[in-house]
Amino acid sequence: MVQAEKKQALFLLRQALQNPLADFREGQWEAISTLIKYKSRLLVVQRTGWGKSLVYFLATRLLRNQGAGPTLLISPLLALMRNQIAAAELIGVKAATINSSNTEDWEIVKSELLAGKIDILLISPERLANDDFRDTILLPISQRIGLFVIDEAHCISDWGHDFRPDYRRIVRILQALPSNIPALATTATANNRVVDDIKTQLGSNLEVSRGHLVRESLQLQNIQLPSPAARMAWLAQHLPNISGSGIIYTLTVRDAERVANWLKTQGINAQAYHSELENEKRQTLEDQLLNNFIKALVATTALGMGFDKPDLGFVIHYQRPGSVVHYYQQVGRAGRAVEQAYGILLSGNEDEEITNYFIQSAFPPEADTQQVLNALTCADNGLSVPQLEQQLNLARGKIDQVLKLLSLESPAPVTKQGSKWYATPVHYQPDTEKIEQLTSIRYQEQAQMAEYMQSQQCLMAFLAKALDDFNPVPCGKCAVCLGKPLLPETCSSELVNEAIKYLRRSDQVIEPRKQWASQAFPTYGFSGNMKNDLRAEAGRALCLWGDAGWGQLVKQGKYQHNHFDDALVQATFEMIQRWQPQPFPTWVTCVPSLNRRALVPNFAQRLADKLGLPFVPVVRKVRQNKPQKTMSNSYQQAHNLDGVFVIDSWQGMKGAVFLVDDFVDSRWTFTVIAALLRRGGSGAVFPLALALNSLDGG
Amino acid sequence: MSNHLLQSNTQAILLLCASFGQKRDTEPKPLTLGEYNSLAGWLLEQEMTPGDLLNSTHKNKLLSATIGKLDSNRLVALLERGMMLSLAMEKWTNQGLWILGRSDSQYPKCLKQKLQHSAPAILYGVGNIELLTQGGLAIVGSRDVDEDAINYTNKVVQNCAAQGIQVVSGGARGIDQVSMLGALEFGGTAVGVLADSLSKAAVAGKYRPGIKEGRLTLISPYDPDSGFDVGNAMGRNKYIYALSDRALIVSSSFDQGGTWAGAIEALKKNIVPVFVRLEGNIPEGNKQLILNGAKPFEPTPHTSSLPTENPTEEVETPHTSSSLPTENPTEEVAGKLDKPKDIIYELVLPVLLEYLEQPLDEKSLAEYLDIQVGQMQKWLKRAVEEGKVIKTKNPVRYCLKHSAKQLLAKLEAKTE
Repeated sequence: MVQAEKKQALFLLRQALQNPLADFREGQWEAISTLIKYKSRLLVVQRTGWGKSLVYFLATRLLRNQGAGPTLLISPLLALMRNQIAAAELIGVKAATINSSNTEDWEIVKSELLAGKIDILLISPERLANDDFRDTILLPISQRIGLFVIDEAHCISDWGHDFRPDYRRIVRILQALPSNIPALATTATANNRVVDDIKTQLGSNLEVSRGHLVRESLQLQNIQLPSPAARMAWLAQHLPNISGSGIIYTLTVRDAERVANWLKTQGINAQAYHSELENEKRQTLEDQLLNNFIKALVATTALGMGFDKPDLGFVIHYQRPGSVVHYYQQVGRAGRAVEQAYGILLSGNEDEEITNYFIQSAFPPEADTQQVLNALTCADNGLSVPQLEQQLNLARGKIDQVLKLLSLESPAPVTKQGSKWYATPVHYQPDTEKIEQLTSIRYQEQAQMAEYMQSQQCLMAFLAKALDDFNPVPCGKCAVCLGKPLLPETCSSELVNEAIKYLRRSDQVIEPRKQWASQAFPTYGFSGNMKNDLRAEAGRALCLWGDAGWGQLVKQGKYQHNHFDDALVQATFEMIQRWQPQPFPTWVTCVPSLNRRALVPNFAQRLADKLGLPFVPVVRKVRQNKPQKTMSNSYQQAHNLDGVFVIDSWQGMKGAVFLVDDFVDSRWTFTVIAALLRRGGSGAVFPLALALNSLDGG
Repeated sequence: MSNHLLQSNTQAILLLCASFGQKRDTEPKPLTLGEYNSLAGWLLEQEMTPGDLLNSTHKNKLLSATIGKLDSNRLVALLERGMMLSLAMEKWTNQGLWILGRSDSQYPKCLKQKLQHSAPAILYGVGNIELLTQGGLAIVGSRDVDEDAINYTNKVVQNCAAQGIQVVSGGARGIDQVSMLGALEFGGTAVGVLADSLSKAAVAGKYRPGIKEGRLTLISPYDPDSGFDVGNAMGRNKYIYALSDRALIVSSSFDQGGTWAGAIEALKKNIVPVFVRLEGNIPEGNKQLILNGAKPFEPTPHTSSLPTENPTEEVETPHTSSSLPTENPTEEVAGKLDKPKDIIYELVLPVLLEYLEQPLDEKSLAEYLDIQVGQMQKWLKRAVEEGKVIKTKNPVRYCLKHSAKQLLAKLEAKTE
């Protein structure tokens, strides 16, 4: 019986791989067999490319043959990789995806699934958090699921490097699952602590199948290059000499954009890839990389889990990731089905600051949590998020983060019904000790990564050991084993200078707001959609606050010298030349301040002189309000400006105007003054700032 | 507390009977209570528990069996809804809801005892589970009420709260809510048996603090997300009665409406003694209920700390919060003058009986309950005299009288 089943499974495997000689890898058949025969709960820890997806495809096929319902696969992937879908189809397993980008297909998928025409359905963990989706789509189709699969299961572990709150819900769903449905959890990266944690959460009857992690064709090297310009120059110089296509990882979305654009100016075919792009765009980019149409994707961790390109030629890190597990997971995408692949870690001065920021903002401060809870507890009939914004001086993002984390507690002190959040009758005590523990683990991981950067032992062995791989041996091919660099550690000073110039041209667009914050402007009477003739035009900021280009000079001007350097006047002038706003302004004005009366007008005056335009300070501040930077959400920021400014008129008013400020964050100040100027008879208003705050740019 | 980790028996009962937020006519249709009862009978014959149905070998047995008119393919399809169960469970329990199947040890025994086959297969709830075993006074009445009825209800619930008598009601507009919210306001406890929307009620501002303090428990035999349904509203009346020791009808229309139907049902089935308000502006239904066997209710209790207007009638008033299951509820209506020691004994008796399902000596029993051995001997002696417990010699052990044990077994068998 078992032999017959195995024979059939082997037949299917060969069919899926289109290779009549293929055989199971160690552990593959055992995993399939325990799922279909004993309806087990199984955790498979195997490196990417080992064939985890074949386990659930074959198990699905065999279970379907026995008359079982389709498989439900929870995965953070946008879609199954094309080669996976092809393999599945070869054995008659039809896959479908439901995610936020294909809502129009949901009903079709639903009816096909209920009709038994779909064998495996892929949904993202975040979908589970959407009540409407759960009630109208997921519940109806879940009446006959034959196998439950959780991909990237290391996200379950809150001790892990990549804990995702949504996985807490998945754990509870798995725990509540009756024993007549088998379940499979898979991951490519999990050290002992993470495996133990997953076991604790999923129960002692969880079986574990675990293999080696070492990548044999991957060559590792670490290079310390403190300044961003030096690393950008290094990439521009050496990327063309590396064969194949690959990935360059950055820590932030802005860096991904910036590095990609820089490489384009250097004639290298690179594209940015991050979470702020549309799903469709992301899939196109993935395809372009898979087919070697581009040299590199410059990506954040958004390009991650499950991305499967066997011939990836290199993975280069522009900045140092927060942990060894993160690093291994990313660098391990290279060197699977090629003779040679590079894993290069560049590290700079800003790395630690960025990873610190991630660690510190991972959990909301307890006071924020308490404020949200108190507001909901006092409400008889719940509150919407905009209502919470009106009651609390907390950023929208913070409110969302608090609500999300609270709603994932078990049991949860808050719940969403319709569009409103309610307090539940649950007693809730925040686990501050656990948060402290987690934070300290993150710092340890960060330190271990710094240690890896300096490692004098085999780099691959270092990674394997850190991941609790058993018995790692020196790889013999990394820069340490070879005793010499794989790629040069230096780059030309000409390129570095060019990169510095590029960084100083990082103009930022200030998009105009188009809608008034509800109930925020009783004095001015602004509400609803903004009329076209009150809106600001798209503006420009010279740099990002504290950034590598002009950011430092702006910071000094504001907080040390109380005077903006002439270099900034010149740079702003050049930016305007590049920009050429139309109709070109005929005068300059600025945002007034009662605290620093001269700083901005002085700068605006010098800029106006340089442009040969009159500077006319027509905006007056008639009421001292709270500092705008202490206002945390859109409602508070908008409301804080109501009735604060008045506009004096002058005869040249009706021309277009530059509205100058030193710093832009929420854009409400520009928005309100622009509307007042327009109402007072001015022409188009072009906001102009020295720096854009980008802390939330992650 | 991990509410989402259910016993396999409860899982199976849910798979068979729950609609998990879907319409009840969605295929495969969940079992009705009657259908479930016939399956439970078959399981008993096979010496199987509901949880065994989750095991594939037993599942095959199901396919070849003939169980009443039940289609075994439907049963198998229902049991395949495991993913649906876990999604629904996760959602409900994470809001603080819990689920009890008829096989759970915390499932209120009074429902099984008083309702037998009509005891719901599943109960959804939120709040302190222990309140379900504390009996109390059921207070029900129409949705539309006058000031008289409201004042009267408030007076009654204030007395209940003062004496530690729980209020049981249905959470509907009108008398139901007045009595429940009143009980909470006066510091008492309340149980609400809802006909719909348990998840919504659980987070309503008016109920939340009471639930959080452990003084209010809301339950429903219907899907927590289900909306209002007249049939369900009628169907849940008997559970309100069965969870209480006595019932008070504040106002009822005659021969129509849920209050009337519920009261008549309670009287006919002898679920608990039924009392009626005969004060102030008395609705016609109230008078008619007297003709159908209900008794007039005297709201002022006999407790000495509270003034009484008519002490001679005190024997007729409800005056204990005991949840004693009585085999013959009418006996209580006749009334008997309980001395405090009798009250205590009656409170203790069910606890003793539960322990004595296994033979025990008086010393260990006293230790379990942290009671002086002398006191324990007195109680045991009385229980033996009443024929509820038998005493064996060499060694000295007490246990449930064989017949009593059988009776319990039979009761269990009927409901499972």
